[in-house]
Amino acid sequence: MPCPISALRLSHEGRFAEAITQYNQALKIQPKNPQPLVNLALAYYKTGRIAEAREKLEAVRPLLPDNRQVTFLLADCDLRLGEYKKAIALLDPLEKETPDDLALSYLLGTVLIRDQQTERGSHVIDRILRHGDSAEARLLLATAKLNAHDVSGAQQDLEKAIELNPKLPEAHAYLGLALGSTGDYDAAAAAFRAELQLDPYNFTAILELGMLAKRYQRSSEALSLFERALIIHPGDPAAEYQIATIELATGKVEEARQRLEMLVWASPQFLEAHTSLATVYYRLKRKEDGDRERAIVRELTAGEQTQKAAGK
Amino acid sequence: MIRWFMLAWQLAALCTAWGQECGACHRREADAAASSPMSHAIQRGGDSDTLKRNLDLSFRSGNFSYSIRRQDNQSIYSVTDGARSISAPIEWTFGAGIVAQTYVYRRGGDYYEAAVSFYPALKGLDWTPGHAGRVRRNVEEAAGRKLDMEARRCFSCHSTGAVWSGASVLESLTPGVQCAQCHIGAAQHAAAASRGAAARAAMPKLAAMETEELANLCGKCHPSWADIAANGPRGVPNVRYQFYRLANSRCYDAADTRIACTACHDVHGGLANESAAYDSKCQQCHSSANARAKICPVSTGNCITCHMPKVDLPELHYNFTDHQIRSVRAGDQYPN
Repeated sequence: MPCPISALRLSHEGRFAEAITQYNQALKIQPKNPQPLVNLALAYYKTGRIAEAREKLEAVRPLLPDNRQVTFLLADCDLRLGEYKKAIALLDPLEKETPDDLALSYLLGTVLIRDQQTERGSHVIDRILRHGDSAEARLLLATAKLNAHDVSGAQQDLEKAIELNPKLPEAHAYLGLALGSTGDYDAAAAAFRAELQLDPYNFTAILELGMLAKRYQRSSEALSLFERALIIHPGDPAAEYQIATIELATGKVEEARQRLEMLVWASPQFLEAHTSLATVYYRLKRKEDGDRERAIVRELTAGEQTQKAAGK
Repeated sequence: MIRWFMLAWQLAALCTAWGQECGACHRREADAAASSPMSHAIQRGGDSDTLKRNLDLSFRSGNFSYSIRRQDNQSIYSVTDGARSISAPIEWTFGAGIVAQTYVYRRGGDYYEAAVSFYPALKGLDWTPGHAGRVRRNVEEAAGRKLDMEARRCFSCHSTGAVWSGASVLESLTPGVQCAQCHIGAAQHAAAASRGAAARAAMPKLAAMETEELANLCGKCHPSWADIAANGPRGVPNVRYQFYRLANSRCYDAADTRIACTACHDVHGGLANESAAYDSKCQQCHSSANARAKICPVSTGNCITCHMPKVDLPELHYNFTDHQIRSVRAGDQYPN
């Protein structure tokens, strides 16, 4: 059975929710039909439901093993979900086949730099730069500079990237990160909003805007942004943590305790969550628990320092 | 609109009255607070004692020259690259001028934080924290950074009863940290007291708070342990965050008020600068009367000179007292 025509039309018109329903109905009849699976994944991707898009793409990949677009999109989902190593594993074989594919180099370079594989990432950037100055190369350079804490260098590259291509995905979000790290919070917020104009499902922009709203004590706005972030990355610890801090700030101490306990149970190294949990316990007059959490924070911080010292 | 202005005026009037009204009954605290650094956490540019004493300040970096010059009753902030210049009167000065003083000016109706601040140790100007690494492509960018929502945060801690009209803070705010910043319900209490019914509007006793509760209260403006533990900075730059450092001390106890901020500091007054002034605070725990306490084998006085060493923060040109109380040994790494 081919892909339902009406679903294709709905997707084309941007009515993704209705299209998703129709694709799912078609897949109930023929669960192994690759076309509706791919289209369903695309619909999920376009509505920012990246985890679900990834799941569908993974299901369709054995059915279309030679389809580069499926692999490429799957790697892009992994990038957006922070699964950098998985993305690299998908892109490596493609790069060997077509080392001159600029789009592929760009995606691979991005993943490598975010995975802190700076040296290999730099080689990929060099390869992109050989094709001339481009917005993509500037964005990649900027992310590498941000990793190296060269914020003003990154800011200049990002501004150039936006000048070359004002619609380049993620460029505004990264500019927001750079500006925010220099204390330019208002300019950062404007950059994140610009990113959301281009891509309403950009996780970083939504999360960071939420954190800025929280900074200015606009709790309900912040909360709705974090909830929106959780739709894109269900169960994301950073978004869950931010919600817990709002609960704590608005007096919902018990809710905050439950959420933070879940977070530290799932991620015992989550320093920020332990920090807030200590505060929660003190508020609840559970001094011993608060002291224990504070001791964990000290231990994690000391470990972080030792690692940094060893890295020098 | 008229109702809004009436409300703003009433709030501002109430705020100005707080300091005076509180002093009618709480004379000692009000007098001490009036001369404390926190009361001078912000001043109008024309009133700044620091700027009145420093009539001509200048600083140069790369192509840009900065100056602050006194003209009549105001100080004018100017930046030039040789070809273009911008100038604006300093509207507000942030900081009492003990560590530093940062300036806020206005352009086109918006507030801007000046790129340079005054440092008493230099008797001159240097970069405002966070400005050294900023991108400066023209005089506007070189002059400072725009404060939009951020300005509200600055004013809400450095002044009392700030009321906003769009992007501008009303001139009627009370500069500095006044009674009502910490004592919630002060207005109602003062109003009730004026009717002879103070007991009916009793305020929460801050002195009865536990150490951690007090830290949360002060943490509304001074970054708390949790703020720094979660977000940094790590290493020497965190020496200026006293709560974080103190809470990392081995002797810190979240329930013991002998280690609370107010155990050593009189929040209504100024900072005691002589180290011996703090000996009695240390001896609250570390005395022979307390069988479980460790007694210093080296000295019985000037405890903080060894156990709370001064740490230099070059960016701020100031030696901060490290509040992480400990036995410091030669060659020890700065903890946390």
